[in-house]
Amino acid sequence: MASSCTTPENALEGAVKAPPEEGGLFSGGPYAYRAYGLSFASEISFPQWPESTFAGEPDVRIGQGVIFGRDYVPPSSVQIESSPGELLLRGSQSATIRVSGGNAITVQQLPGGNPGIIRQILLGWSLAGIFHQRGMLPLHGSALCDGDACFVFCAASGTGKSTLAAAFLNAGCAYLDDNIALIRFEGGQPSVAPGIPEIRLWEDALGEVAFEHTVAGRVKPDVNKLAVLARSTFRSEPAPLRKIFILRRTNDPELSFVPLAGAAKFHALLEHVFCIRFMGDTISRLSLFQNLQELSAQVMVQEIRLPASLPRPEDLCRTIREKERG
Amino acid sequence: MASLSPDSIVRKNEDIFTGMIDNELVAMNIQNGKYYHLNETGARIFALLEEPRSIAEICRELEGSFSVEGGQCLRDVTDFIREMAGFDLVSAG
Repeated sequence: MASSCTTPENALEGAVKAPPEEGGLFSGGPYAYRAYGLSFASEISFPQWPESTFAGEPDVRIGQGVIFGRDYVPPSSVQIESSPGELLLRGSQSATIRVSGGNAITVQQLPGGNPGIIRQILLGWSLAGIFHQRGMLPLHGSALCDGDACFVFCAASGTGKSTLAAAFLNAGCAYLDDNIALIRFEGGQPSVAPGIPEIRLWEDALGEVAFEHTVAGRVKPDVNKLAVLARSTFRSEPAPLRKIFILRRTNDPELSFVPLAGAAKFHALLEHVFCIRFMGDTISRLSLFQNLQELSAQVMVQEIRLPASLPRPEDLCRTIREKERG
Repeated sequence: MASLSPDSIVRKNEDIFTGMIDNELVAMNIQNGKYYHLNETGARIFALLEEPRSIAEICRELEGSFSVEGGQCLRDVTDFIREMAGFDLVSAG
């Protein structure tokens, strides 16, 4: 199964730590956001999230809390525990994080815990926990809009999904999210919810970006992948989903497009459910099955088999757009 | 599993949830999370098991839809039921 959700702590054993955040992780709040069709009340700031105002109870609360007492000793490597409605991440360096009931994320920062790493865990694994506990269907993919048509591109990490997304934005398209395509069924029709206006690009790809943007910093302290904020090309309304593409690197001599059908569609999409490897028993098997079956039955899924000699992102973007326009 | 006869009653496992995608049936066992899929003919047979039926009854329904000789149908359906029972999709006896 394609890896779609890394636990950043494991990747940073012994890495250089970022300087402490001024004021601390929980300073300056509370903050109110709206993303993925949900309202968030948070004690932690997420500068790239769309700020919002809302009345009443938020859908999700993110806050500081005591999960384990003073004598708690964190494990030497990350451990994840799961049960229906409950997820617990025992970090070794950053934090202990609990996701519960699909509506609460509790963070207990470890001494010296890196705020940047904690934010990445919250934006990835913890959000995945919220979505899965709510019976929603998040796919690991870029959701792009060419006019009113929304396409989701799923791919294993390192395939070039974000670079392709940047090529689409260069061509005048809009995007809903570059990491999580949250599928919702509105009146029985699948649509994609707007996420956050951030694209993650390798530093050497930044020179190809032609759309308005600002660089917010590195996604992880010791990795040359940048968080690029592109608000003017961000679509803030849900979009009806027309097609899902699965990008797959091959040793083929030529680029090809292969439509999937039947159970092959179902299993291809299952492979790209966001963070499914790290959710354990917190996922409702029935919700996941019903969501994937309904999505597979209603939406075309096509595999894009990338040749050994990769096409330039702008050429691939042009080919896809021309094919979709018929 | 006891040997099967035309009178053997076949019941769908209640832990199995199904859905159609194009002409194929995908199924999941909610207890163990395993997935299965059946082609168009298998899906047609599984659809007949909304209520318990004997193998003979299943064959009578299929003979109306497919041009198949009765004895061949009985052998094929019996083999199919035995295979589905092996995957815990149905019980038969």
